[in-house]
Amino acid sequence: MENARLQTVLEIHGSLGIESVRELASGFSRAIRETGDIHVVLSNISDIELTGIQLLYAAAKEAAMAGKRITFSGILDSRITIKLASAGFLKEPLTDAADLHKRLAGFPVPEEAK
Amino acid sequence: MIDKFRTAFKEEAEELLGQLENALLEIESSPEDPELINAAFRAVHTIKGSAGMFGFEAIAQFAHGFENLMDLIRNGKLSVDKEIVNLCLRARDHIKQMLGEDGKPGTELTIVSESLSAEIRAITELKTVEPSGKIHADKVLPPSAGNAAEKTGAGSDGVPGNRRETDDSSPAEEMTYRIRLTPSPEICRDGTKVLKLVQELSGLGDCTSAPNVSLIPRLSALDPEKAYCNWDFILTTSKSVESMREIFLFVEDKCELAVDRVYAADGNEAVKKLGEILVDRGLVSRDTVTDALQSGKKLGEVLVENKVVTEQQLGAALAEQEHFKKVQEKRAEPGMSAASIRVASEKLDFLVDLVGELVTLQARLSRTGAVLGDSELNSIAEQFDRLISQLRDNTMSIRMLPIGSTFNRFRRVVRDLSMDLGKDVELVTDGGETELDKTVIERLNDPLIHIIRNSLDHGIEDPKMRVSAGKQRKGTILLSAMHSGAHVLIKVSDDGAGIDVEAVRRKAVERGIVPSGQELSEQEIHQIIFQPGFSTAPTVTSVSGRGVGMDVVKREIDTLGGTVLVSSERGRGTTITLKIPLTLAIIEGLLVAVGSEHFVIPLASVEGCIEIDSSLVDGSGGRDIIQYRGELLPFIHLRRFLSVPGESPKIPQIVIVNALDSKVGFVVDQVIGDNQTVIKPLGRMYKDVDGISGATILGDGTVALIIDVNRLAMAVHQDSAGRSKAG
Repeated sequence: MENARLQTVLEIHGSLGIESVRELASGFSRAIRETGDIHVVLSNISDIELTGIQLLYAAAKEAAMAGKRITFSGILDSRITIKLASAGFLKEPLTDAADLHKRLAGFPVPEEAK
Repeated sequence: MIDKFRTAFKEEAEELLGQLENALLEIESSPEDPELINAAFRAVHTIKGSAGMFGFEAIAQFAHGFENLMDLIRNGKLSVDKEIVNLCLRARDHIKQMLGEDGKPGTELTIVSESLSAEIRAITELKTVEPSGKIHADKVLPPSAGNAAEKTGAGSDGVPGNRRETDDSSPAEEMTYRIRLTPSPEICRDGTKVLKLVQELSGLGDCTSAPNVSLIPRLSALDPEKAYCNWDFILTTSKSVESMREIFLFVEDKCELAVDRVYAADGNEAVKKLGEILVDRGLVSRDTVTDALQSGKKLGEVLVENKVVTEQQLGAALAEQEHFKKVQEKRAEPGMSAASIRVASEKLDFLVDLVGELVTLQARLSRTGAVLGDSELNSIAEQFDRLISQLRDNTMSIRMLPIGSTFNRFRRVVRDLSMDLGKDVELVTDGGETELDKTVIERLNDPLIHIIRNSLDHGIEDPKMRVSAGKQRKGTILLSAMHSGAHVLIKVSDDGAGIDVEAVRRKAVERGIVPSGQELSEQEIHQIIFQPGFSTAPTVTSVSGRGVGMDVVKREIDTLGGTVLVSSERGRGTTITLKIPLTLAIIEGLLVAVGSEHFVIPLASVEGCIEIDSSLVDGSGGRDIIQYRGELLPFIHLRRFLSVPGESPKIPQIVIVNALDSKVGFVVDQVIGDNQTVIKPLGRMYKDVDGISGATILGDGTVALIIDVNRLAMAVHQDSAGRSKAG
């Protein structure tokens, strides 16, 4: 985790699921509490599960309530994005995570950004 | 009628057994892959269900125990190891054998059934833990549309126990279902992969998934390991409700699955209005909809403003409407009504025969038009010709099948034989999508088995030798296919010891196949392995060593009009390449005349034609060699080789063909032109005629013989070599 101006960059490695979600939740909480916007790098995630995607939504909801936003970057593994599309979180699979916060169904954004 | 269904069941069961075998072989290397385990389970489950339905009671009974075993595996109560895979494969083979006996096994198979069932029971009874005691929570809601409850098999109360089970396995009509999945909050804690299950469900057909993300709290209120989301799906599928339930079978106590069929199978129902969908979903009453519509605003907006429905509920209803529109559009597309149909292969063979007769008749029509000089008849003949060409290409394409299905069978062969031989060998396949005529594919099975067995036995070294030679312990056999013009190249490569050229030569001399002291090129030595009775194996094993096999390969490939090439490097491995024509039914040929006889040379082998003065090709000058595009090529006189009486014309023609990986020339009197050649087999009396592979009927009703290009090329080379030595 590194601080860059008013943005915290979180780089997630490995599987975004039950095995890592508690630790990541603490990381998100700290980042939202301590700094401005949060940028999440997803290029190194190998899998995603329900707890992982829920965490991203919950963090975005928390951030939005604090007037902050969560953005993403990284090239997504096709299996991950197909999985998200099959589950209806995405309308269709996407490769570049840069637009993920705009493309995830009902993804929370700060009030002023709407 | 019943027999028809039983035949359909047997065909389907054969396919399922193929899928089961593939899944089991993959499970062996990925024992925890739930998709593979589910696939294997479903295959066994479907076979069991269908077998009972079509009167194959013995199979149904046996498969029941097998299914229990698979169920333990998929519930994680039994871990998969080699022994379990072996048992499953044996059980699968046993079902196949019972199918072969029309589901009425004789005494011997009944004993095997009992013994295998006992083995399976010993495992399942040992591993069975007490049931959870919880009642499966899924329910099939009474559908809104008319008598749909009866069609889905749901009872009036929607309780699974009260419904009549629908045929789960047989292909059904497409239907559209509304599905609500509510995972329990604790479902993720034991590692259950909910998104994977959801993905599997949506993979059953055209699916629109709507997760209810509004239930996810803000981070400060989140228990990260808890499941909050639920889903609404609209699924259009030909799969049964049972198939949907099966996906969640092993988490049945941790989620609720409600399935409601909402649209009829024929797809003729009008797309429902938003209000109807919301009423169907039980979210609003008809009166509320009527009132909201009177406001003049959009119905959805009004209902959300008045907090009658949430945005999420509205979104799901709109998604349902959108989904059904898409499905209807798709159904309206031409050709979408039936993606594929199953047709007995005999019917296809008959169709090809009929097309062959039409091609022959068309040639006759064209010829008659030309003889009579009737322009109207010629015009009809030309149109007929175009149509026949299209019909021929279309019919032939129907018979084309991907060779991958044959490749898959060899995975089992490699697995079982490598175990027998104490070797560790992996079969890797490539190009399984390459298409070939089904008759060619059928005839490739035996030659490929022989080659693979040979690679396993003679090619790949045992693990110790491989390690000491600095190789990986596990050997690899690569089976690949690719198109090359009108041929398909099928390669079997191994990373084994390669052919010991000296040992082959020595053995060939010992057995009198080659005279002692004769100079042979490496390629010629490689070809010796295809001689009948040739083997360098010091001992005869159950796999090979009797010298029976590779000669069968050569013979079979020759009869297919193909060639076999060998390349090998000592210590690095061997590659055997089969070059096979795409089809054996109707080919493009080059019609030539020798005296009063006509012959057809397969056009795919023809490189070019040249005219030459007879004094240069009469053979009196010694060797029959011509210069063609800077190359010196040997040639042969078809007239002499085939003993056609008469004199050659003053200026004969030479057809240059590509065969056995080199070019040779065939001297003919006249090249007539291309000819759509319907291949007819030679009768039993003529099957051994040297240099001829078949016959065809020409437009005037006469018979033309089809030249066996490989055999003639071999004769040219032998003739040329003989003259060299004599010279």
